[in-house]
Amino acid sequence: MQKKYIKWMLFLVALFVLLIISIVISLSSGEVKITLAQLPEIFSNKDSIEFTVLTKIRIPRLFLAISVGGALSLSGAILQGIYRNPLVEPYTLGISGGAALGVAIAIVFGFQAASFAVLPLFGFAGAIITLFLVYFLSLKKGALSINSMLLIGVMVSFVASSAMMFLMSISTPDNLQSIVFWVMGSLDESNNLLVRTAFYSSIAGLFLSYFFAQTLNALRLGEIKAKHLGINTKVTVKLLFVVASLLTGIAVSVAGVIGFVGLVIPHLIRLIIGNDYRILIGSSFLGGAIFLILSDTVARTIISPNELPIGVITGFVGGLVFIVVLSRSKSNFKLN
Amino acid sequence: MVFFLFLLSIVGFAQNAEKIISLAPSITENIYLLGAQDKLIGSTSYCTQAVADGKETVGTSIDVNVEKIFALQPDLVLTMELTKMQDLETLKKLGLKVVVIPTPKTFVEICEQTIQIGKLIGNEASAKKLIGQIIKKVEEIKYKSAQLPGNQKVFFQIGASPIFTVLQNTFMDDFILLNNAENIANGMTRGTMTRESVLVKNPDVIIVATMGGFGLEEQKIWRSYSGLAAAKNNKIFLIESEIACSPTPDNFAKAFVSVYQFLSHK
Repeated sequence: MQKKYIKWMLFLVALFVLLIISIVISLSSGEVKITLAQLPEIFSNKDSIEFTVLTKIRIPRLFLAISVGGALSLSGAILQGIYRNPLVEPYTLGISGGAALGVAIAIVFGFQAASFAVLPLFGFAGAIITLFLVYFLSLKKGALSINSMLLIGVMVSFVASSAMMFLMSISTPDNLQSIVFWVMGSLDESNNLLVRTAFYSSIAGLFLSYFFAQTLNALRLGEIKAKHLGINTKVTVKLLFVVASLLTGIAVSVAGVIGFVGLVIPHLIRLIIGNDYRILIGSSFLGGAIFLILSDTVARTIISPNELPIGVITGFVGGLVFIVVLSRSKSNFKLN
Repeated sequence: MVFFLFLLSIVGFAQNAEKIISLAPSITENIYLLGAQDKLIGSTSYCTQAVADGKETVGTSIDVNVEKIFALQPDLVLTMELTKMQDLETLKKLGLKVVVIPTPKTFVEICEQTIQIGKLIGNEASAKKLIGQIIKKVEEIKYKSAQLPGNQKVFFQIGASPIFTVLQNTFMDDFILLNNAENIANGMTRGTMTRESVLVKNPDVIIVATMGGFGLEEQKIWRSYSGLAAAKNNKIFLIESEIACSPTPDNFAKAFVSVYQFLSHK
């Protein structure tokens, strides 16, 4: 027993070290090279380009990468736990489709001119409305039927994407471009309020999920067995679903649709450290944050001065790493 | 030689077309500029003036309703490169005369295209007169901008998230080039840029297209960067997308004057 905790501690320490390393890499690379030694000089001259780049571009991006990566990955870990299905990720449930539809509506009707907050708010509203649709449609006699929920989620996301295609086909080329790029996702968000909101709420989500670690462990045995262990599955599944959806909603509304993080990272973490949610929750968050920081660094440097959509990197790297790891691991893939 | 053949082919086409359909907003605007709107029987839903005048809408620039175009029996269909190839082929197979006008790469090409359109619809004289006036206007401004300090670096933004810049060899680059200034995107071949790379190039002047509201937001962002020369100079301006990005002689002259005013702003 002791041994397990030591292993966990070591794993967490390793993840923290990786996080620090990726933060340093991300902050120092780009068009302007910034080294640690330059920092005092940079901070003494607040009118320099270096200072502006560091404080106005790279640091907000970094915090956004941590919040979005962490939130998506954590949400994936939770959803895979309640559905006991390895293919579930935040976007399977139609949340991203709903968010994208919300944003498309705002762009097509020109609402985004009003304020910087319009697109994130519409994205969030779209995500939450979809979530409630999925939730109430799959509610049977007061209990959530997990399988029908998954199916309804997939269907709702198809309907949302058709509605979005409809909007795109009637919109102007300018709007069309805005929608397409929003859907590809980006961490280029300069508004401090949005970055802060995303950061605090994803951290809050992390702490909140920790209360459910043991419940999630019990749910791995299946809903009925979990019930026998004295867990009120009706309530906890609902609560967890809401927490996971809020996390995804926040991530999508500030950064657009960034795929694969929620699917790949929790699985990789499972393969390394096992399925115990007491360690899985925190390390999924850290893993997602590291992955997105590095992906973003690659996206903005690889074809500099041009920028690649971050979804391209997460899809490519995430997918490939996942295939390699999965095909090399000897044990069969298991969630419980 | 190729150009000559091209001209011949235009002459061979139905001159003095009486029933025209335009599949691009800038072509529609050109037709209005030439005073030939009575000949226009159909346009896209983006051609606001034509739609307001009750012309038939035959689709968007990208997606057109082939059946509707055929039913209207035009003498001439004018389009830019956005329209789907398959649809254009179908229209040609149905026996309609389709002329594709490529996106102009310079101010000179804009003028040539207007004259070409004038020839095709039998309004060549008014086209030449119009172009004469526009060239005179542009030359006047060019004379004034020759007095400006020639080393101003300009960043002209036409897309947000991702940031998209005006590139060399586009008619929009002429707003900067003919105004005796330098485009920070010189030498680049792809238009997307990271915010950082714009900061590193440190433009003296930033011009942002309105982009249906996104431009205003971008202007605020650029203003917040204290280290940026354009922010220090307070030279970050908005320009109407509809005027700056739609290649007609009239729009070019208007946008050209605006850019001159931005550059000479104290």
